[in-house]
Amino acid sequence: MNIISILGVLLGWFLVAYMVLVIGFYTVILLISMLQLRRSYHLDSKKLHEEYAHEVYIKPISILVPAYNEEAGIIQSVRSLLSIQYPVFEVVVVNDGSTDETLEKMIEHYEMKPVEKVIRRTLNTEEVKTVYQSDILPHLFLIDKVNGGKADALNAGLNFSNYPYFCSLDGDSILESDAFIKVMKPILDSNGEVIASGGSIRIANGCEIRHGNILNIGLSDNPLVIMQTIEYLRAFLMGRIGLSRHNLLLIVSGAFGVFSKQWVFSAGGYLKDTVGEDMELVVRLHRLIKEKKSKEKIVYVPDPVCWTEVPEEAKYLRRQRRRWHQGLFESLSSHRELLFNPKYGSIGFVSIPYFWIIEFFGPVIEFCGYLYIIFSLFFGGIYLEFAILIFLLSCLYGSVFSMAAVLLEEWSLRKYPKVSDIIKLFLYSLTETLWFRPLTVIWRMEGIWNIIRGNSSWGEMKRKGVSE
Amino acid sequence: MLKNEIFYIGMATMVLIILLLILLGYLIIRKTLEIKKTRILDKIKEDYQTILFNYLNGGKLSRELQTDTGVKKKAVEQLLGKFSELLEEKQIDDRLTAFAEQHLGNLYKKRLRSRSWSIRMNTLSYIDDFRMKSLLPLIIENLESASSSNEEKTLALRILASFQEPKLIGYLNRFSFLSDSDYRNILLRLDQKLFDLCVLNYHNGHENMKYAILDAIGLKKDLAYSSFLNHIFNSSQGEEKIRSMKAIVNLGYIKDPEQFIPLAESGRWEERMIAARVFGIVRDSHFIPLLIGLLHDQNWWVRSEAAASLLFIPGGREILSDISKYDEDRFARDMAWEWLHKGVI
Repeated sequence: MNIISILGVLLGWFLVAYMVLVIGFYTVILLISMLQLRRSYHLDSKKLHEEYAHEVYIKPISILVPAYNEEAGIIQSVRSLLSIQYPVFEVVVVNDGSTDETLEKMIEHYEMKPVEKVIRRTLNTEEVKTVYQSDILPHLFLIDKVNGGKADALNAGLNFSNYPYFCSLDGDSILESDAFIKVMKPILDSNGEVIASGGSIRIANGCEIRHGNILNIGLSDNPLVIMQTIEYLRAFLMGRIGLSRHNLLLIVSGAFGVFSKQWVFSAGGYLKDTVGEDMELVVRLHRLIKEKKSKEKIVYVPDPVCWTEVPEEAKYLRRQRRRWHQGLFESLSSHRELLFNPKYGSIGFVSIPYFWIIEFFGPVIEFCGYLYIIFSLFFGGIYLEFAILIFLLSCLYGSVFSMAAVLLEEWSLRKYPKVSDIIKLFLYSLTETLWFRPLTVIWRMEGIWNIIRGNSSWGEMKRKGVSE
Repeated sequence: MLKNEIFYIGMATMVLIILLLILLGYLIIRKTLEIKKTRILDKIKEDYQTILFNYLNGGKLSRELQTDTGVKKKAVEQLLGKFSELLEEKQIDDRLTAFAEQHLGNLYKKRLRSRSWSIRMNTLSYIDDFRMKSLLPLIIENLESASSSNEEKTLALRILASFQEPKLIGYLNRFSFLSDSDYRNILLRLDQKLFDLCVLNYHNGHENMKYAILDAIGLKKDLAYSSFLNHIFNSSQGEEKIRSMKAIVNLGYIKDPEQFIPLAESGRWEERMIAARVFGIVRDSHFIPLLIGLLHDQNWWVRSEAAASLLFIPGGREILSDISKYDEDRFARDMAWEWLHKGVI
């Protein structure tokens, strides 16, 4: 045997070993999630939560909505926020120097009037031009500031906000009306030991939405959206429940999470010039907890549902994935000293390695896998066997875990009303390895390529607005 | 050799596919059954809605309403749950409880001993809604049981509170896992008699229980506890003192404002903030110098509260306006300006 064939076999073994490791990790997570969800199987959580809706002493929250060129959806999202069930809250829309009509639309529609208000500059931000308050809804505010990016807008909103807890929401998300009560419950029940709580996000494409309220839940017919639905189910129901159980959660999704303002202030607010400012903040909070040696926690609640629009065209999905991967790298590399650092306990030994090995380098290794499969077709023999094994393992990853996530969904939330939806999800999940997975792998590789070139451009996202 | 391996790989694929198909079959059957069940349940609920409503309203029960099967019981349970939220007349409540006791009592006895945590939880919250007193012994059993979870115990304590059960106080002092909001929720359900008993037992309780009692007094705004609060205020420290002050402020009646003067110099900003608020409630112009001092505090909350209080005191607005124009301290100036120009509060 010559060197090349030995290398070929070694590479084959490496790829197989990697996939077994990944599958093993996810199996453990899946089991943890299953146990967790099975416990509350059939629990009537609506009933348990309604008590809180009437409580006067509940901790008030500030809802921050950073908006950059969101004229299509901003009025609808604000309207859906104003109708939430929660005793005391304020909505703070931060117009981050939009170049479209976002500001004018808000002012006109909600009769916003300028107010004099001194803002504590706890966090440093770009200049705030004017603060508006709605004449008809005194708990609705609008901050007009010089453009500085999403993190900067959030920091400005934080400086302004009046309440001890806050939630940041993208302008294009729709919340279920009891979402806040559900997501605040762990914080209230723990007497402040829980400092951040994240909720599950679902895909709004395919649902019938009117005036900022979900009327009917449905599954889109667009293959890209269906694949993303499967991905979201897997990520939220499997990944996050499993990780949250042992306080390993590293992402409180940017689209829906409640944080303690005091903790975020002491962590220094959102970090500017990052793409994944939400994940970076959560890592920093975890770090702060460990450094203070206190026992605060960050949790994930499976059901408070926030509906968000996902890209329907490959062009925008590609930009999104590229951006996410760059964001992931920024968060991980700015906290690289956490990796295998005994000071940070399980975060340093499980979460961070997981994100480095499986999430960040995953695409590179998977890409090698695809190349391996292609080349093996020419060389045959033992390579072909490895290739078949790799292919089977990735099918296992794609299909079995996807179906397991659908199972978890059926055990817990049961949001999809039709049998045909389940069959659709099943059939598409079988095809994941053949087209969707390779595509996302390539897009994420592009993200890595951008990092190497030092290009950190965002790429603009197009939204059509979810609500009718 | 190669053939052999292909055989194994083929086998593995088969196993995988069979596994997936089983999973799919399970999911489809489950969903179909569930859709069917929901449809039947909705139909029964529709049929029973008026009958049940007429009974609750007038006391006459039609024979058409039966609870002989599980799904019918479930329909009745959900309808009663809805009515108990909507209707609040005493007589209707009594009928609702009687009906629930008669038709769901036995089922709930079984369910309280169920092995599934969620079923026990759901049952407890329905018992609470329907005020089914006959199940009290079982609920107490559940509280005493070592295997029941904290969530269940919390729900059980709420039920005890609704029933005005004196044993509750012992449990409240014993369990320390309750959160502030749980305590408040429980204490606010108590009638005057039982709440007084809680206050009498104040010193036997642990910290969280004490805080909750103080908060509850503040929420009830009952002036009868004013001297009790003053006593706690004068004899306690730290968080307990702050909570007693908050309660005093919430009562809105301050007997002896002079005793708050030293707090304006306190090392804890919470105490200085409450002092500022007290001076505003009293609306006595001889506190103005103190409030001006607090408006120059280093803490934002204290400054904000002091400015708000000044606004309420006669002559305070002019002082604020002077400060906003001429004061040397920029923070005090800004705060005064903000309160003078605040929009809707």
